[in-house]
Amino acid sequence: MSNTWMIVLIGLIPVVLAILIVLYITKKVKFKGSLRLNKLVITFYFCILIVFGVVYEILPKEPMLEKMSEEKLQKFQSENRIFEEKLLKQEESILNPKFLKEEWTHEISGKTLSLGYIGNDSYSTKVVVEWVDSNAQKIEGKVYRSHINVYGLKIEDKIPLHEVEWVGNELVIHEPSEQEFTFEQFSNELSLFQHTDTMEIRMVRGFTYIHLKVPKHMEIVDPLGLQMY
Amino acid sequence: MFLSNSSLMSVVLSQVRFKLNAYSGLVYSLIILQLIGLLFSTGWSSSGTSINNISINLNTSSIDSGFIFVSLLAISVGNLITTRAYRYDDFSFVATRLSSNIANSIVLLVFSCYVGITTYFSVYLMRIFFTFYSNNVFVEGPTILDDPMNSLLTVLAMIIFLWMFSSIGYIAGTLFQLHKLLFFGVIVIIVMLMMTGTWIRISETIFVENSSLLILTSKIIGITLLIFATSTAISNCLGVRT
Repeated sequence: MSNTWMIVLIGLIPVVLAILIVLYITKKVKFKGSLRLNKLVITFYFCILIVFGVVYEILPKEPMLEKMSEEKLQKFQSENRIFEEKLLKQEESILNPKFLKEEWTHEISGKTLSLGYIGNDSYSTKVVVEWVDSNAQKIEGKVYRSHINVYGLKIEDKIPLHEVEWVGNELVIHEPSEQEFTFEQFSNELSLFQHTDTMEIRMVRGFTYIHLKVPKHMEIVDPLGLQMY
Repeated sequence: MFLSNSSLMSVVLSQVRFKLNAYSGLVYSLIILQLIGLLFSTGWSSSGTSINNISINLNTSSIDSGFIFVSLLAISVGNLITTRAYRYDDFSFVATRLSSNIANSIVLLVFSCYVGITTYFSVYLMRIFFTFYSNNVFVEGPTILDDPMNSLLTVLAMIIFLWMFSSIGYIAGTLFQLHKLLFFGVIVIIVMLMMTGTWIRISETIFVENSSLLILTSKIIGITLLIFATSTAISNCLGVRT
């Protein structure tokens, strides 16, 4: 039996199960109530569900997580793209200031600067080096993070920043510690028969950018390829 | 010459009233199936991803699972009212096959309206339960007050789909009453048709290529009326008390 048929058969199991449940209930549930009782149940059930709907709508609820519109997500994507282009062109003065998270200076000894990463996803961080005319040993650094959005949820504040630490002459970037967030949402939409042509943005993948101003006489060792050109 | 002449409409109305009372016991099956649908709807679809070592899961509870169960019930009820026991109820009236079929289609429409509205609102039962008893973080979602037009359209679409499903059950039952072999023959033909490219193209035109839910709903109404008309034509071939 081919894989396609196996998938079709496995997919049919819940359908068959649902049919069996429905058949069993329609055959077995033969509650012989009086017509008066049936009418009472029909009216009561209908009214109670409508009341539940109204009560939920007017009920004061805990603040919920905001969901962003498609337009807002497109704007985020565009801002991220422009930011990266400008950073690569080293047009620092026109970079979006809201992406700047921290800045520091560090003095190193010797002529070699190493870049290291601790974590699983080194692609989440990009290092941009700007060479400066200076004989000093001082390195200026700025950490930026562009917009992050998953499933349209406003959770940027919940995702911690990468930590940057100097260990001698090595700049070590630490990935945030593992965390898990679970969110619940309700939908009144009937998605089974709906088809939308518009491509929904599921994720705006932002990055952590480290902009370094390094004197020209120094050398950079980058075994993981964090540097972006 | 008769002492009183009754119009088709009055016969249909009296049949509808009688049948609605006779089938009122179905509400118990409906309530049980809606509750089962609610159980399945918790986390009906779940998405998960990871970014910067942070796992993000989004569970969505929707009316889809409840709708699947009540759709199957609609097919079952459509089929049930064509069975001999239920058809014999029509002999309590001075009626024709036409009036009987019209009455059945109206009864199924009323049934679909009730089921559609209650299924839509049954989700609120779960929403209220979760609001009080869950510690999870909830995501803002559109409610009836935010988008009343869309909510109304969703309820309307559900009702029309349920009516269509009940008409499918109805035509299947009518075929089965006419001849068992004919019923299975039609099933085989439909299954074979479904495997052809033309059928897929037709299904896409009807169900997929719709710019709005309203257009889809209009198409479904057309299909349903066509199915009921076919059922009426088929049932006219049935003999007396068969």
